[in-house]
Amino acid sequence: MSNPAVNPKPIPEINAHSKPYWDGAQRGELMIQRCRGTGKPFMYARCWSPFDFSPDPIWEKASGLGTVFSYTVVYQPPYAAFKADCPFVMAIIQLDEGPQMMSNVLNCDPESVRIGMKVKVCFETRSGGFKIPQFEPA
Amino acid sequence: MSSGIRDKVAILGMGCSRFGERWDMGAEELMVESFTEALTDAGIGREQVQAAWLGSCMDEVNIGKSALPASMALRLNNIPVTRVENYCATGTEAFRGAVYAVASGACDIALAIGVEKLKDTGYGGLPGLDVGSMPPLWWPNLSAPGVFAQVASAYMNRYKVPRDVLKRALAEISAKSHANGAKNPKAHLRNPVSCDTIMASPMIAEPLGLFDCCGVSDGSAAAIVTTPEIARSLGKHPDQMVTVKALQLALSNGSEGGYNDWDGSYIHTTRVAAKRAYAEAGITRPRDEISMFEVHDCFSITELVTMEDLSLSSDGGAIKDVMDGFYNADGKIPCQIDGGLKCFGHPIGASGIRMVYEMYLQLLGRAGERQLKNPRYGLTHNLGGFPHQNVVGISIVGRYQ
Repeated sequence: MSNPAVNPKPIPEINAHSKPYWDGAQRGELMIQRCRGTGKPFMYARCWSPFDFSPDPIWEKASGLGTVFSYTVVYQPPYAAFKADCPFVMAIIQLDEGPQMMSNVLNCDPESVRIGMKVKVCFETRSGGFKIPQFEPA
Repeated sequence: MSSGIRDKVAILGMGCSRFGERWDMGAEELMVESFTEALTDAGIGREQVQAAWLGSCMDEVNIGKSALPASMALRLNNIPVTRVENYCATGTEAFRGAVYAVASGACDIALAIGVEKLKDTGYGGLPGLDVGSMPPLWWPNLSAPGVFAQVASAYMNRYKVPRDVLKRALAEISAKSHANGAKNPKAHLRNPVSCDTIMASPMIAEPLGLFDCCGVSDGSAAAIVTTPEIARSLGKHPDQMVTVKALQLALSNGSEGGYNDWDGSYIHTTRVAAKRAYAEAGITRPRDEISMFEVHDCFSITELVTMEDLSLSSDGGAIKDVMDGFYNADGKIPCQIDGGLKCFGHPIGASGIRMVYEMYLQLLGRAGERQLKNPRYGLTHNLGGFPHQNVVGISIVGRYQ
């Protein structure tokens, strides 16, 4: 097992299905997929639609806008790598397009975050310059 | 057409190790501790067990893969032994395997045993799970207290509950479990704690403080099951027989987390499994008919919303019931009479069976200082995973009728 105490904040393992998502993040774009059969958007990346199992969903750039669906302020880090960030906001973001995603809300007083708050995507740079989608007040 | 599990399977014997920091024993020895108690209780020899299910969750830090550790530690008679894992609902999954085996008629006597040895990790929570390559897209930075704290935020938002009102009710939930655990000689934590102390404890993930979170433990629990007819032939009087009234499992399918069908303030799968379990047991008014229950109180907020998800409290009504003492040891439907995950402890693979163990003891009048008066039905609720993506196992047990 890896020892989280000595690791930096994680960066994702990229595979063929998720590559367009992470490539988009490096360009500063939040990417979502849309089902070819039903037309409904979804997260996270898959090679088929979770609605009707139709193949090859369409990749598209999301507006990057959303609202806080629920949240908490984390005071005890899950791993040592997150210690310097505490207290930080861990939130579920409902994108304007519909799908939800887990994220942090950055660049604000953690105590100021509320359900229904408008947020927009921003990007956190991690080790090696890798960019991770995050959110901040809109 | 399925007729369900009701009264088809009897519990012949049960055992449970002491939970806690068991530096003196390995996982194999802990299995022997619960198994020998269950064998003695059942009044059979180990050669009479015809099939077994082993529940263990964290194979990376525990006994490893396969069911061999159970077969070898318990010196079983070269019988089929199957290892199951379903997050923190692993114990109920093992129980389900044994119960279904007997109900099918494929074997006469089956064993379910769960074990976990977690304190060796030196960490207060659960070690990280190997989750594959996709979750970083949609649950980055997740912590277990964090995702359950999000349920608290959504609950406050839905019912317009002031933060201090919820915090106080959550403290009452933990204080009640500590009061109950103090009376349980096998419990990990046996110290009464006041609500003031609980509310003053360090914040983990707002609004959950240290005492709103259960820890992890070393421990094992076992159940030996058979049919009511065989139990009778082995000398169990029908008046002293506990049977399975319902056993249900419900798993998330992704809709809660991704597609806005859920408002985040409850556990969807608990509601699904509870509805099926009540129908299977023939229970139409759970608040009047359930005598006691054990829920998966990994966090105090989980216990609070579960009271509503099980239709024991009305939606939005759990806080009032908690503050009225409805779920206390001297209340109408005692919850966590053995201390729950919070104080009895949480050795993952054993927890679901431990819950059934307490209901079994209570139904047979063998719960000592914690004994409740004339319980009829006991319910167990075992939750694995996260609020938006989880496994829920529910059992209902009662006297044979």
